[in-house]
Amino acid sequence: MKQVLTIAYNTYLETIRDRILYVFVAFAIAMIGISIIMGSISLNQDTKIIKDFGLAGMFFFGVLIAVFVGANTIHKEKDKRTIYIILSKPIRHWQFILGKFLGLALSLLVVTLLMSIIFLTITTIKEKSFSFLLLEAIFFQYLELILLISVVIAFSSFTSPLSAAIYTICLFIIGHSTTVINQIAAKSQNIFISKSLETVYYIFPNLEKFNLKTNVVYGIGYNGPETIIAILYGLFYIGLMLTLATQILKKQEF
Amino acid sequence: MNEAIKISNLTKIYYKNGKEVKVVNDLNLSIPKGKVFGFLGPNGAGKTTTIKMINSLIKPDTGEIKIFGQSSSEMEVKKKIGFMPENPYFYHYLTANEFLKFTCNIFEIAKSKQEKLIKEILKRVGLQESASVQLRNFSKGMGQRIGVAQALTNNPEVIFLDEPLDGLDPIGRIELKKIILEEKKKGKTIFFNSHILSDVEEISDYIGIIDQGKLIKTGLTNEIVPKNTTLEKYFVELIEKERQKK
Repeated sequence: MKQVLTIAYNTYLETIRDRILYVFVAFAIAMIGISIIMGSISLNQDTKIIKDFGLAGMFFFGVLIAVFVGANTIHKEKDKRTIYIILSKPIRHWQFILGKFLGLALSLLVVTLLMSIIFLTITTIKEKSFSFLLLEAIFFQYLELILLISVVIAFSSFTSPLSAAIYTICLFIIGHSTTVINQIAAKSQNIFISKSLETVYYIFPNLEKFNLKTNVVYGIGYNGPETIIAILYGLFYIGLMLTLATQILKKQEF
Repeated sequence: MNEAIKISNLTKIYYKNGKEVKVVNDLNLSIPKGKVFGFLGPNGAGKTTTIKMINSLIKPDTGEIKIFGQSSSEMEVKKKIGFMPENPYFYHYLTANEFLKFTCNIFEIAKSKQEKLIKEILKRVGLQESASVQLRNFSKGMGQRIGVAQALTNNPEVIFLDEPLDGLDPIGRIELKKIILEEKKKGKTIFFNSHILSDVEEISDYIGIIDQGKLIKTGLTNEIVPKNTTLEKYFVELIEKERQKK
């Protein structure tokens, strides 16, 4: 585990010292600021608008960080040949992949915490009470973001950063449309289309499981079993993606 | 065990335009413990491929590599190995000190010992003044030095250096040769690739000459090189002779 944590800490340092991260964070904080202005010009909907825009802004920039920083992580190790130093030492391929994942997840956690403190402070002042539902929504957003990191790591283990980013964004879009895809599959008369869509439904992750933005507006959170199922589902998919990345890396030569 | 490195029937094949190219062709080598082995060959001869196969970066098609009787890909064996790749690149955002700490952590060296160890190693490679400098600001020569430093952090039994003298100024070369000989004195086995034949002749106990993937000569340096010539002259003549045969 020491090796995993060493790689993770190194990846965290790499990410946190990357200027691009600060650009994204600045934009995300600006988005929260804009939500306050938009809220103030709305008719008695200010809290709702701040919540909507704030959560969406945090999520949007979180996705950008996960995809674009994540897409480079494995590729850079190969391109800059730093992987020579790592894999020639007593480090297994899975330790390297898990370390990279944990390092990126930690960087994103720091960013999410920073944005959450600003966002939750604003909403608490506005509502005069702390919203645990918002906290729950942020937690599931974070879970989705680290799932995306695992996906982008899997893609970046065998393709270029640009392709890895594009594939991950495609998966992200499909992942948020799986319910619709399943409905179309059920209604379709054509067996080929129906079965193809069903396959897509089962292969791609159902990212809507982590989307609690609408729930926040209506004040409905997940109950205990729903929370556990969503967490386990996320962790299972992350495990699957990291296993895939490890197997791909094992087959490669440098 | 007196044999530190044993390479048997090692072959690596690549395909170029559908044609099979044996980059390393049935290589057999045996290097005793505590000796310096210089691996020589023209560009593209298969030296780096061999060193990468030993260090688990490339998989051999056939053959095996043993370090002290165990496969070189075993984790326990990797703990005893130090490796510096050719033209090494490092994490540019780390300082020399942070990078060596990173290496120490990989080898699970106790935190209490790290500071002293890193100071010592940086002093040995002449980088004590640059401990807090980010690696992005290092020159090529400094990069070579930190490359050697990271290969020494685990106090390895066997050290593999791929073109370690490349990019070093004359003082740097003298210092590095001194480090290699110091490690030899401690009983370490050193395997290195180099183009700088005068240096190889000076510090190697054994040499191996490889051309087009095939080992064409190996043995004790002072026995291989005839008395009235230099290793450089002998090397050129040998390569020309071997190519004419083909």
